[in-house]
Amino acid sequence: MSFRPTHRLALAVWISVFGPGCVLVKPWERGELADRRMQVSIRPLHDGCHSHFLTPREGTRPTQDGGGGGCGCD
Amino acid sequence: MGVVVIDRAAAGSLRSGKLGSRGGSFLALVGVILSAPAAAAPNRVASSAMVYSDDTDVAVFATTVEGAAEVGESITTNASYTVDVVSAASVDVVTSASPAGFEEVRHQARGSVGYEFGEGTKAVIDYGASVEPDFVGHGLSGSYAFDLLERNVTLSLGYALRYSVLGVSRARTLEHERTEHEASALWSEVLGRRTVLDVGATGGVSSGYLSNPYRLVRLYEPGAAVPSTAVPEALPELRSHATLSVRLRQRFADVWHGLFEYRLYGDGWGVWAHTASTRQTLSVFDETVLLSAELRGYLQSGAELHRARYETFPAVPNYRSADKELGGMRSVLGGIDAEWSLPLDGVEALRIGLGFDTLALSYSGFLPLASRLAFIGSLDATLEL
Repeated sequence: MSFRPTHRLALAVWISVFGPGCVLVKPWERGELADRRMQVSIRPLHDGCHSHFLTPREGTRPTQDGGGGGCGCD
Repeated sequence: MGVVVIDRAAAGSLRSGKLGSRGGSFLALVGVILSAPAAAAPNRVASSAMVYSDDTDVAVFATTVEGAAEVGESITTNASYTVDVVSAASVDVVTSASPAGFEEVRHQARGSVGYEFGEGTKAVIDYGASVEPDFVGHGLSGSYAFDLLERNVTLSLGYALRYSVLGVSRARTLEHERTEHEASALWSEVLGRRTVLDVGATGGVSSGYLSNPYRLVRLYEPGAAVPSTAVPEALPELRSHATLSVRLRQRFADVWHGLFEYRLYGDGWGVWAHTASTRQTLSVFDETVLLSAELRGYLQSGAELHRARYETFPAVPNYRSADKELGGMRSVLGGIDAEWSLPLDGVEALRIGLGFDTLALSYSGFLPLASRLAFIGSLDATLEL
């Protein structure tokens, strides 16, 4: 039985998402994860700047980051 | 837990421009809710100045002030205000119904309240408004996040509603209405001591007037060089969309952290888009300075109804758009930024940030403009109390 590449990718994502029992990390092991450099947005104001100017210039609406405004894009 | 972040600078903008981009920030707001763990201190004041300038004579200056405070042990609050000053006389403006270009000031304000029910469970309500000469928008969103599997997983669920009215500046009337809904979910999972995986999905519907009141579509006779007439853009009054995103956050070394992300977008108009990005952060000078480099690529297919040129005269298609944002396009953004953390008596920290980015866009379905090169700069300061 063979899988197409997209199916393999979907399977990999599924396993990694729904198979956390193998990789439970104890609370005392999470110190490094609490570091702000591990956050999605290290510098919200700067990241907001990106979104502020990118969002109105693309035909889709990013679902991360944010912002609009600052268009001047007509 | 993966506390919900309301990023004012990001989500604070409730609209974008004189175009279908209105409402982008509404969805951006949802996206911000999805962006999970908080990076900012709960008690702070911050301000930023941003400038955008491109080679088609578009210039934007935006400044934001924001503040956040904890009230007791369970409540967090946040408020922000952003003002944009826009000046544009770009080639695509000139080819639209605003041949002289325009200048305007835009105001955006927002506020949010979060409540932590207990360890690992939090809800946030956010409201934002935007007022411009040709646009008024209101956005309300809510999210609920809770931990699972011994706090190795945070699941965030969100919903956002936005209502806006728009028109054209010179008419001084806002005659068009638009409503947008979006639901979202984000699964954030700790994969190891140094690795976090985020998988997110959104789905939404926009309805009402989704065209751009400024845009014209020129109609040609077959083979003609000169258009016979120009008619207003007309788009369907319903647009559904869905996104799927996967993000990996990794600590490679004590001083090196990386983020990788891919996002797939599809909508009912036939637009598909792929976004891939990475950010690499290096800590130097005993971690008092953060240096980051970011690279982002974006590839979009055109909407099925989009045509670069309409050779249909005298017939007028029911749906018609030659808008560059609805045609095929691609963009690359690259940038670097630095943040200094300065010790200050009586406060947690003072952080000063400086960023420079270059944005290159190219359009495959927009005849008046093939590409655009832009510069983005930002300066921000955050006082953590």
